[in-house]
Amino acid sequence: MNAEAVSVSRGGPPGEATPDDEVIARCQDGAGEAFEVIVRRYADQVFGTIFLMTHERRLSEDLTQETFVRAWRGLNGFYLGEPLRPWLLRIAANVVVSHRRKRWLPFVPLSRVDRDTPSREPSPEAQAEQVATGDELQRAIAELREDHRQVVVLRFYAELSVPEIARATRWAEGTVKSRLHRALRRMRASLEPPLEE
Amino acid sequence: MTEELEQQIRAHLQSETAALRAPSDMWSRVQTVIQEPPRWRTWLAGRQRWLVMSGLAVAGAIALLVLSVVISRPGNDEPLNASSILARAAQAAEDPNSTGVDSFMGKMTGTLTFNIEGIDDIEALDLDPSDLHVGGASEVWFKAPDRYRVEAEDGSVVVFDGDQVSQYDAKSGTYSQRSVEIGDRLFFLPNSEYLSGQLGSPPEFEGLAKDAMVTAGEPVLGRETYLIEQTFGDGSSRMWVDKERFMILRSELTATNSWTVPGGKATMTLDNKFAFTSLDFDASIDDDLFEFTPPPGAVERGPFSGLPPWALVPNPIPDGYKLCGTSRTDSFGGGPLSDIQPVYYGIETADGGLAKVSQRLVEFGDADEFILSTAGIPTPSEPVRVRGQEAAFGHAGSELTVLRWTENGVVIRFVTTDLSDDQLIRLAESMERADELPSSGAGTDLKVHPCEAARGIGGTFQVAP
Repeated sequence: MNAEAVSVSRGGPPGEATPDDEVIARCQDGAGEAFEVIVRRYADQVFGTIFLMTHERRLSEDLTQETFVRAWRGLNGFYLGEPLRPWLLRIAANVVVSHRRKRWLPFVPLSRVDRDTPSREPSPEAQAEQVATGDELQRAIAELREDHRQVVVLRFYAELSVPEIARATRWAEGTVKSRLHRALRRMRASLEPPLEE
Repeated sequence: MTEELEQQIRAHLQSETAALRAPSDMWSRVQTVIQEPPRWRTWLAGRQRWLVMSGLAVAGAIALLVLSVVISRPGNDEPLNASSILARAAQAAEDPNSTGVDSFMGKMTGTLTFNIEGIDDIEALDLDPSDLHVGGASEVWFKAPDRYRVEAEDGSVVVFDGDQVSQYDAKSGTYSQRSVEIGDRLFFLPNSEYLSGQLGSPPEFEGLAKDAMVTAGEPVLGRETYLIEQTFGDGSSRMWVDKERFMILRSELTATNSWTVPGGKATMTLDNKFAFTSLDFDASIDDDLFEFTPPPGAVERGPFSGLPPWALVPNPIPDGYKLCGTSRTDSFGGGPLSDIQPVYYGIETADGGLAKVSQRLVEFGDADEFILSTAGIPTPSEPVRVRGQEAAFGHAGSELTVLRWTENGVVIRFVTTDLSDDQLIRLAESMERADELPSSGAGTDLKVHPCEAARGIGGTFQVAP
């Protein structure tokens, strides 16, 4: 997620770019072409979230498309002034959830990620942090139960709040909290070095 | 440690996707689709009222464990008007911990009564009058974050231990256990959505709630309440919501539905009442209560164990389809199988398409005509032969197809929005008696796949997401 994307999520892009609210207002007035701005602005973030949840590139492309289609159809119910990014990512999560329930998808662990993806060059910051933890983290995340892994993605990549995850997954907030808690507990246990006897 | 781990996870996930880019033609892909009108919306609009009524009927019969639809939840800092109180009540019903409840134990009572007027001979409708009034009491225990136990007075039990939901049905002596999947919403308490009969989407719910009146209600079990009064269409509801914890402590609902029947007009009035008769917040509850142990002699429920023995089920499932489960609603009262026995299957295309089939099995008679006469279901009149029997198709435009025939005294009807005539016939020809199938349903072709289509509470018709 790049810096511009983050700033977009907080109410609008920097510089002279049109704020989200203004674009959405035009869409709500029937200007379909304005929606192109939204798609171009958020496509990568939506795609990244879905990819982390499914680890299937082709499927992620299709579900990204479906996310924006649903967003378009639901735009009239969007309240101007609310942040657009979490709203879109909630829809994205919901699209994945719906699709998974329809197809009973076997989710692929991270260790078996489809490598038919663009080469990944982590940022220097990420590289620095990954020196010590990258492999272990990948393994710890891959070993998580599927529902735990998805909650982790929604919380720490999509940066959705617990209530937002609850709405997207249709779980009670208490359930989201408990799954997040259990996921982190299991990851901690997985990352801790074994006790020496 | 937790904060550090969370930061590490963030960094790792971002590095995983650092070079990922959505396809450059995403906008044109989206543009292609959004130019098409959503075909479901028009179809559903005229039937929503019926969905509400049938949903209530079934929800009343199955009491407390329902799957429902999403409604919006405003944040806790919004001013308290009827809409926000209802939204918080809905949230509290789903997640009491969200309003500060760490644990509670209580007793609840509920009644559901149908009054039908305008039809002289109720028995001619194959409705047992005793089924028109149901009621019962249950006890409930909750412990944060999400563990529940509910015991009905007949001995039926539902337990959610945070991972698995277990259900024991005392009437049949059967139990089932399953993991909760993403997308499931388990309700152990009536929520405002259910109690006010609003199964609509969030904007519709909020629109109705805007018209609600909120006043200070009389105390319930010594607790101060908001009284929410709503009118909607031909009905009204009153709900007493706990001022501190936002749980619904008591409710009353009346709704009326009218439709044309041969010889006149019929009116059905529904009365639904619910109340806590005792409630103890922050009670000390033993963790053992949230562990489910099947009672001695209880039998684990198989995929077809809810069906009457003469029921026909597709076998094998036609290529390209999956059996999404079996489900049964008894006649209105939730009593033993006697009169109206709809059984429906969700069958989904293997590629994740939208196909849905609803199958209704109705004992011979015209009861089904009565039940569905306002739903816009076409009367089958185009003759065809199925399974060596006289059968008939009915088509409502290109969106809805009915195939109906009678076999061994049972009217069998498929209602579908997605399958072709040919697919329906192949499905019908494949059917076998449930009691002649492997009880486990473990055969390759009979594997039951968990999917949404078979889980709706008024689920004869499922709306595509």
